Amino acid sequence: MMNFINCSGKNKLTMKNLKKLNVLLVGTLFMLFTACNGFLNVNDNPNASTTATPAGLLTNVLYQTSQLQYSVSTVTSYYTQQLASPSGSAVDQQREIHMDGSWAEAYNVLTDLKDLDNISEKKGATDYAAIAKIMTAYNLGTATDLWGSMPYSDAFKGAGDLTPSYDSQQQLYSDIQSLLDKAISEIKTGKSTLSPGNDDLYYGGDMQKWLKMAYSLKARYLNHLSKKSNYDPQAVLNNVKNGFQSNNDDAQLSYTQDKMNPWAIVVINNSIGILGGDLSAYLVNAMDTTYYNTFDPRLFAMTDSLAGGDFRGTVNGKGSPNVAYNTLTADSYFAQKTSPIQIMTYSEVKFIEAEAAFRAGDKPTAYQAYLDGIKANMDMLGVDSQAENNYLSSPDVAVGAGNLTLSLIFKEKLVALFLQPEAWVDARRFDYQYKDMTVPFNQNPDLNGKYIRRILYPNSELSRNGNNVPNVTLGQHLWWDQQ
Amino acid sequence: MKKTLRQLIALGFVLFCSGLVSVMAQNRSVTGKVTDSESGSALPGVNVFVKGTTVGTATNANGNYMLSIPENADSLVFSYIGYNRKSVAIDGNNTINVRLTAKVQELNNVVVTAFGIKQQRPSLGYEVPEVSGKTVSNTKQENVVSALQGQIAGVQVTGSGGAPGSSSRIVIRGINSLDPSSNNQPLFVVDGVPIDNSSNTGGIGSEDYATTNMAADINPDDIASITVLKSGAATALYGIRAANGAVIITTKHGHSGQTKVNYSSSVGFQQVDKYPKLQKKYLAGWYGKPDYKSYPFPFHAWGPKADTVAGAQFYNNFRNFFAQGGPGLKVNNDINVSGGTNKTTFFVSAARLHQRGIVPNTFWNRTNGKVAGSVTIADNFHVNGSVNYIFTKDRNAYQPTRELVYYPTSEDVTHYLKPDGTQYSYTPWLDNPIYAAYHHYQNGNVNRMIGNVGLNWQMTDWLDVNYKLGNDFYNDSRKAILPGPQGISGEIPLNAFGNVQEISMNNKDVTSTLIITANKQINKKLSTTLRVGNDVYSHKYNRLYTEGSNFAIPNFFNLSNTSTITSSEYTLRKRVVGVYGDFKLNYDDMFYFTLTGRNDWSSTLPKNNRSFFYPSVSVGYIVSRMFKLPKFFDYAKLRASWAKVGKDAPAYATGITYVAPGNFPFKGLTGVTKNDVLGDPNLKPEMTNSFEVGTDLRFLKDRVTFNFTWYNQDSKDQILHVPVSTTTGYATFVTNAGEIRNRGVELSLSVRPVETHDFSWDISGNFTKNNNRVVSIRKGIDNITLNGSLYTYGGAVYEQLFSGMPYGNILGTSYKRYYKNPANEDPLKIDKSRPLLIGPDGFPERNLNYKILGNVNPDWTAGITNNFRYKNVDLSFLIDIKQGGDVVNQPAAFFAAQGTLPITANRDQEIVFKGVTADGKPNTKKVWLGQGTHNGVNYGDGYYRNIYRKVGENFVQHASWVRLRNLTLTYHLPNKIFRATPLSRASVSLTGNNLLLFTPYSGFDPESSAFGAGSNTQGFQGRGTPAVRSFTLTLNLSI
Repeated sequence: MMNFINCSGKNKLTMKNLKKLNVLLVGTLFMLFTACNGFLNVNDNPNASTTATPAGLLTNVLYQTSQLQYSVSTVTSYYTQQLASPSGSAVDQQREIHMDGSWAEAYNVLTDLKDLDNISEKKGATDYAAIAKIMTAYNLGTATDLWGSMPYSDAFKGAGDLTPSYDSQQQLYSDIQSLLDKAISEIKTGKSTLSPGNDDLYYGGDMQKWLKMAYSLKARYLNHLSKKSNYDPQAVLNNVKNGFQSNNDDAQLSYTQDKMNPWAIVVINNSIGILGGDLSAYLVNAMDTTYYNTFDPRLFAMTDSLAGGDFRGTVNGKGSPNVAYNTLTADSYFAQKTSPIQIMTYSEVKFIEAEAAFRAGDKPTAYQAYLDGIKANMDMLGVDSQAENNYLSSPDVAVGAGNLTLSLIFKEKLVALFLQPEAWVDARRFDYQYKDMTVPFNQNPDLNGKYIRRILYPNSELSRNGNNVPNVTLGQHLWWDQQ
Repeated sequence: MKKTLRQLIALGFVLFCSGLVSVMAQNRSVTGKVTDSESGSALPGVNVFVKGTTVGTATNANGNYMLSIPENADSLVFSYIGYNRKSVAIDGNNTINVRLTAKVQELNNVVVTAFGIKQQRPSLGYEVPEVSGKTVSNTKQENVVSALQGQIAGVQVTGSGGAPGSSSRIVIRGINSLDPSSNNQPLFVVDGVPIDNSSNTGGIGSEDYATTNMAADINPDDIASITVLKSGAATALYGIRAANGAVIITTKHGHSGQTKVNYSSSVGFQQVDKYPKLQKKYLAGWYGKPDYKSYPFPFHAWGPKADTVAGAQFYNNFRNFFAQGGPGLKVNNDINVSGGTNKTTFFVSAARLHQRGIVPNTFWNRTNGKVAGSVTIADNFHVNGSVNYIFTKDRNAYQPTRELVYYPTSEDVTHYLKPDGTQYSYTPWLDNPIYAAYHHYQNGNVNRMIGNVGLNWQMTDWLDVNYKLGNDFYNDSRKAILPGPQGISGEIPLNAFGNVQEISMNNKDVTSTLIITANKQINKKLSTTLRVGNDVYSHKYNRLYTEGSNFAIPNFFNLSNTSTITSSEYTLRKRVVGVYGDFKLNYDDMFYFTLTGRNDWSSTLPKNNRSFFYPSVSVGYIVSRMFKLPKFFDYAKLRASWAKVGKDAPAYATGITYVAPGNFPFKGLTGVTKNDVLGDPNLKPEMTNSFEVGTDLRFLKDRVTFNFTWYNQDSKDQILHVPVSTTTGYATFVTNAGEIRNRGVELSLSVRPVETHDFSWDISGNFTKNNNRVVSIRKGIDNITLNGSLYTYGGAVYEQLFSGMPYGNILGTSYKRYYKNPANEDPLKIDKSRPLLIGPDGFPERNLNYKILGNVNPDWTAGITNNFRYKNVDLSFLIDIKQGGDVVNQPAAFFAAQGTLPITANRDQEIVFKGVTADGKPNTKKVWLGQGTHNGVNYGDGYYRNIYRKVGENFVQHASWVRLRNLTLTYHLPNKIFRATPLSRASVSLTGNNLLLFTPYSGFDPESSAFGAGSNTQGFQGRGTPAVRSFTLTLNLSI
């Protein structure tokens, strides 16, 4: 190389008078080339982890399930006329609805539950695996009661199946039961290598409560089949027996001053003009002696009386212009910053028992369960015992076992399931036959005056998995909603 | 193929070395520099010969040469295309500097190509369009990207609106990536150093605040020229980073000789250039009644007829809103000083721009300081460097037109304050947009340093080493403020809690480039050049985001004053190492052949697929040198090139991960969730094959020039973020799939019809037609959904990609058409020739299955520039034409729902909708278009709310345009005026932008972008600031 360079001259830079720079240059070059591999190993994502712990997954799914419970109930509570929209919203008027957000949330939770189950099974953490199965059953149930057929057996496969097919609701209901059966047997074996503690936001690791939750859910989803010819009330009652025994067993998540209950945010927004949380005229009338003679003290757990001691609900679909209406209040049971969101309650189990016993023809059991359900709900809401006794002994309520009707059970259950999506399942099973309930004002004309029966599939599914999405309308009855 | 090319490159090297033996016989050397006689700028690639021999060399990128000469050498000959040949006697000199004079009328023949390598235009196998610094600064666009609008064939520039400092998007030869999150904009290179041009949203919604594109930090007055590299062959040396083309910016630098000072000062005004029309027949109200202030009907114009109400008034809230803070204002001052000795040069500039937005309380200030210089350490060793420091400060309002499109025309928007200083709004359910602009905003600060240091060492007369180290470091910190309640009774707060978002982003780009160039004159006619090099790129970005909400003390907007704080952190690192070679062969300045190859190693790909090689070949053939052409025909060239260019993956796109959701910590616990992005562990690089052919012709003593290019680009194995059904467990899947093709023609023509001493007229035009086609996506994936409108209440509209169709289709709800046999209906295409299907209620039926409503891409675009010079006056104007390309007029969907859209003024009419009923018979049912009950029929909320606004088809509009993009009138003050002063030149100019706009589009100026320049979803007009017209007065002084 040096031979080629024979240029000379005072003012020139040659290899000879630049040995140091030369070394530097060549050295730099060398480093650039050799450092290549290590230099390029920077693709491990610093923003994410490649592993997950059962505890982290569990905490998240329980939190997200509560959030999902809220977002679903911001729709279903209008259909059940527990709430009404101050603006006569599209939801309240039962117009086209896809619930893209809730669908995505539900599958997020279901995906994490799938991983929680798999990871826990691998570690022999059967307690975590059991909880995963129970929560899968719960979330799958909540979702299928909105949309009917949904991907499940072909779901969660990632690149293995990018357009999962839809399982029928009948199939999903059988999956729910077998998930719960497996969970029950896993808890009963009691050989978990890991035990949940604080990370279990619902029960603090008390597996006996999860066991009761599993039975309670079995009862709930068996009882959903009340319109079916193979409805088995005795099977429901058998599960109820092993289900929740008191309000202490309720599955729920309490919020904190910082991470507020989402209904508390609705109430705070309402106070600055972003209106929401109006109680429906139907519910208020059913509780404030307009429709019945007896005042239901649980109304005070939802709202405060207006000036003059009056109550006024908003007519569904019509909105609430100009005058004061009852809304959820900041000191109500449901909308304080630290209020719980309920996943499933003891009082619901009692009403399930009441209905199943009633359908089985065992009216005394049904009647006792009906009264227990009301009492449990009042206890939960903190109604004082005087008011509780007055209500329970009033002629509207204490009709005696012989006069008990399904209507009474459903009327009371609607109040007890305030702000819970499960109430909409009841409304449909009961064909909305609540006394004095009417379709909302300015109801979606496509429904031809009949009540809404289901949610349309989300836009994201229509655009990403369109070939598998069944064609449905809002008035179509889900599988369990037909004979 | 790979192997063959590697062999070819090796062969080239051998060929080259074989010529070296003769070099050894020479014993004395001469050095020197060749410059342009007029501008003093260095001329690279000038052939230098010893007269009467084959001994010769060529000047390097800095115009320097070194030549070993035989003892008997007598004189040197310098020849260069477009310049007069010059012969200089040696006379024993060791240094011979030469100034060459350009041939009269000759076009600028030296262009800056990849890595800042200056090359002779005729030698290239592709077209390299150039925009001069003067043209850039004449547009008076503060954003260098906007300055390119309409200037270059094949380059599409779209502004995002009129917010101060707002982003502009640039796309060359169409979209190359199917991936919705992929970058489709070119690489920006300033003085050989790539710089960042991202549009950072800071991790919050792209629609929330106007953001800039980072190249807008460059001071347009510092720019000497911009060249655009469009084809794969042109960008082959840059490799993956320039897969979408490259914009090469060369900034001004000093020349040896007299010190020059330039000062320019300008002041400009801006206003909205186009407003939508609203009906002025009906007042605010609901069901014909004036009661609109109370919920649920507080925004609507479904009230009584204005002529039935005494004192009825319509406010022009749009104009009043944008006039609230005064007209938009731009003040710019720029000074630069340059000069040098024969050993050093320097250039120093300082500039300050203040831009006040048309939306109240918004601004963008940019301060630039730049120092550049070069030192000749030895005759053959030069060091150059520059440092550019940029500081910008801005304030943008949150979605400034969000409330404005709701504000009823019966209410005066300028009444926005109560005496107690809290918000006035006529209803508690709608914020006043002026109050919101003053209080809900984001402050931004960018501190940026772009620098480089370069070495040039001409080791021998044939070997040249260039090294450059460059960096682009910036910190972009932002703070968004949304106040909560003030604690004053009866107030209407903007938010129940209030919150503050602090975002801090750091970007560090370092690029190291080494190029070794060897020139060999093999004989008098054949010369070769070989370049080999190495290129290292390191990128690090991190972002810290903290949000606090619920202020304890009102108006104390500090994180410490909030009760709930959430925080997140994001880091991205990426590194690329490349090695390349470029072999060039020149036969008699007539035939040129170039072969390149590059191998890249990218950190973002899995280890096994990390290394990839791609080549390019290009040829240029100067026909006019071989054949004698008719006298009027000056020059003819044919060119062709083929290239393959790779593109790597986004960082961290491989594998499955778990992340912590934002809700935690909760009760002292954290949770994890599966990341909804599924990465393919076997990702491999994308490859684009591009081919282009073209010709460059010049006639009539170069008074007419014409360029034509046809190109075809096929990008395969696309790395896609495919949105997938959430039921898969993921929302997005990153994988190699799909192919996209762009094919088009580019024409440009310049004519100088008149040229006399006092008067000249130049006209130049460019034309672009690009056809894009998504060739395939992936088995099992029918389409890819980009962004869309989310607030159209049943009239949702999305941009979606389907295989076999062009990029940019807009899909959404439409009117149902009648098909006797429904099986004949195309699932995606609307047959507008078919009659509408009218329902039993007498109204058109909606089709809820998404169909194609339009496409955002233009059919073709053109730009026509006229330059007139008469004595001391220059006049230039640019007409920008866009044919086709649809825009979703989202504001119109609001207006339709609220009853302010002009068409809704026919609500008092009964009509029979044209169309057929389900049985195929013509519809005869008469219906009323208003609200409520009419002739015993209850029409509910009325046709416009129930149907019209929910049909996306109604709001996708043709946005063709012809606009007077730019007009500049300049008066050069005659020299005699300032003969007694140190001034050498002085001029005054008046510039107008967007002075005229002709378009069938009914809303604001359709040149807007709801999601900003960084988004691949274009063609949506949203809640941002509309485009503006501006007038600028500029004074230029030179010493």
